[in-house]
Amino acid sequence: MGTDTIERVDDAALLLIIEDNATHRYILASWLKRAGHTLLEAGDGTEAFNIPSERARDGLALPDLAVVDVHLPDMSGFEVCERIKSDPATAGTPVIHVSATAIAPSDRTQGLDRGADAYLAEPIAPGELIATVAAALRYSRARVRAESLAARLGVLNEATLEIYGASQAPALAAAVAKAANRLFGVAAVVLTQSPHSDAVHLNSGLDGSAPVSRLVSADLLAQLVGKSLGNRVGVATAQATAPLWPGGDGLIPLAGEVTVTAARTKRGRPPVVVAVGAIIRQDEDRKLLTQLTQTAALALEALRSYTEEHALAVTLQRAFLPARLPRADGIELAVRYMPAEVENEIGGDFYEAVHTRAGLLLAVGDVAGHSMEAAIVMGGLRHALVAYAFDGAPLHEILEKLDRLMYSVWPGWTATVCLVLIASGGREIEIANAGHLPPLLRGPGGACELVREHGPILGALLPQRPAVRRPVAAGTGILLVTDGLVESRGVDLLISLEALRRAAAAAPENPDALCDTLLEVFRRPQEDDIVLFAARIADNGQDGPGRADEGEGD
Amino acid sequence: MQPSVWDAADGESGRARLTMSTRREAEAVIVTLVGELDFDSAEMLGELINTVFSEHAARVLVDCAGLEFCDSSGLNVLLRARLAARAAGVELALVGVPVALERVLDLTGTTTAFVRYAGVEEALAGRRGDDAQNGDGQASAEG
Repeated sequence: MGTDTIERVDDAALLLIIEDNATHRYILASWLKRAGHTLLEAGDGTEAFNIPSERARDGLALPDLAVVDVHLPDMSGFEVCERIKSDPATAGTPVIHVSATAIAPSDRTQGLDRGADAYLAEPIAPGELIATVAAALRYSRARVRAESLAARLGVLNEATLEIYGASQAPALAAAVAKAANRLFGVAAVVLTQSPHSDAVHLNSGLDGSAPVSRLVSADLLAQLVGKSLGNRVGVATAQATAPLWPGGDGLIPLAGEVTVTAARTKRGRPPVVVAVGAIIRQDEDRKLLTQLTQTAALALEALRSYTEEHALAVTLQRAFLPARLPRADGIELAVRYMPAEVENEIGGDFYEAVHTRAGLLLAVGDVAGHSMEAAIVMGGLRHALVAYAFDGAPLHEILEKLDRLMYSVWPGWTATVCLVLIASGGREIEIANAGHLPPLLRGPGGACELVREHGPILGALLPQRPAVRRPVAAGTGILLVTDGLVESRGVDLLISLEALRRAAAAAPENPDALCDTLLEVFRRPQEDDIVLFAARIADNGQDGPGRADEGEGD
Repeated sequence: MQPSVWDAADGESGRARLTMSTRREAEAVIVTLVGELDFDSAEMLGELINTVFSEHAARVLVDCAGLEFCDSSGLNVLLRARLAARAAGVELALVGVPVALERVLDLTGTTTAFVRYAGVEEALAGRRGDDAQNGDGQASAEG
């Protein structure tokens, strides 16, 4: 064995030496200790294999590398190596064989073939041993880092999906907090400002427990980015040691060493802040934190744009509907309009009530499709309806004009429309239905009837049927609905309509109360828009319904 | 043309809600639909039918026997195809109309808007079923 001077290495490790010869063990261990490593020593395989489980039980780190003599009293060093490499807990631990006797090339070959990372035959120089240990450690640490990075990139990918899947700022922040917690294994706090609101949500998560969300002052957000990102667009990271906020009230305290990363995607937007309870030193960790924070900021921006678009769509849809219903002497009207609960869809349901030369015309319709375009077609169709109806033309003629209008102006679009005219005088109604759900008539005694006569849907260039006439009396109710109220996958629509008829018969007569009762009865997760439009010929009028003042219809 | 199959899958469950396939028999292209024809799958059917029209078949037979559900979006695609077929001088027919579709055709007054056949064999032989109409007649009266 040589006696070169030994210099301390930079990356000291915890080493296990397994050697039955106490003198050899002492010499090898002393060289490695002088190089700065910490040593665990075992005299045979059995003793060596007790070490990992004992240390694991005491919460201590496992050895980073094993130096194993080839000849041991209880088993061969090759067998020790194989057992180390086959246990998932120690499989990544490099093994270096040393031997004074098994020094033939065939011994070296066997050792390396059976899993060893290096093989040193006596005489061994101290520098050679230390350099071999350093090389094996370098290799295994690089592999551990690569594996850990790959695992954490997997976590980041999973988190990205969850972050983009969030439909609201608090859920988004919770997903980010959870991801930061998993990535860095320390407490994490995320601050986000909700779209369309000054509310700043603080989310914290630790140990897989459900993240806690709290409203905090917007000043905190400004204060946290003041010295790093400021008002700029981009990402900035700062270290802090002062306590950022105390714990309590379900929140994790972030005090002591903290890394604060802030990101902003557009000028003028509030930043997203991710704070983790540790000083992040490794380059890779910093990149991960930066990436996570940027993902959060981009997702929040997408959520913001989405929220703005949806709000605009709903506003437009409302603008296409009558601002209010006209007033008519002796006729009570009520309408309920419920937009679909599916957030990214707006529909083409509409209603209208307009005084014409022939009486009060009620209409409910549905343009097929859920999109901004469907809503625009609906708006155009409704205005055309008002124009065509104004001079009191027969109802089927109005429908045929609308059919041709749809075909020529919005080719490929279809709409169902049901028209009910309450004739001046209030003794008769006319019904013309272009492929819409049948209107419901409720007699003064409460008997309900679905008026099933109908013509074809609009936009298909098919001839319409002349209107059906029905005598009505004081107390007669009329109900028009769109299919969002009754249509249910897997249920025959005729059965649903019958359920509607029964429910209406049992409901109050007053149009407002009728609508509310039916909405209550048919409430369920709603995929489609719903319109309920109810009218009742009042029973207190002497001369029957007539036209009141112009009303405030648009 | 090789038989081809498309699936309109449910984004959440990944379950195919509508399976569409096409095959050619002489002058006819047969489009077979199995599953649920709704807002989500209607758009894909629309695109498929446009593709079929571009293949210059004299007849397009839509085999609907396997449809379990059809809503207004689904009907809309069929009506759109009907107008496109008329403009192109192509016969578009519905084959084996199931209850779910019959109900929608009935409620929307379009039972007579389509040429109809009871089954694919009858359609290929040009034998219309008892309920077959000329496809341009007056809409049905009663619901």
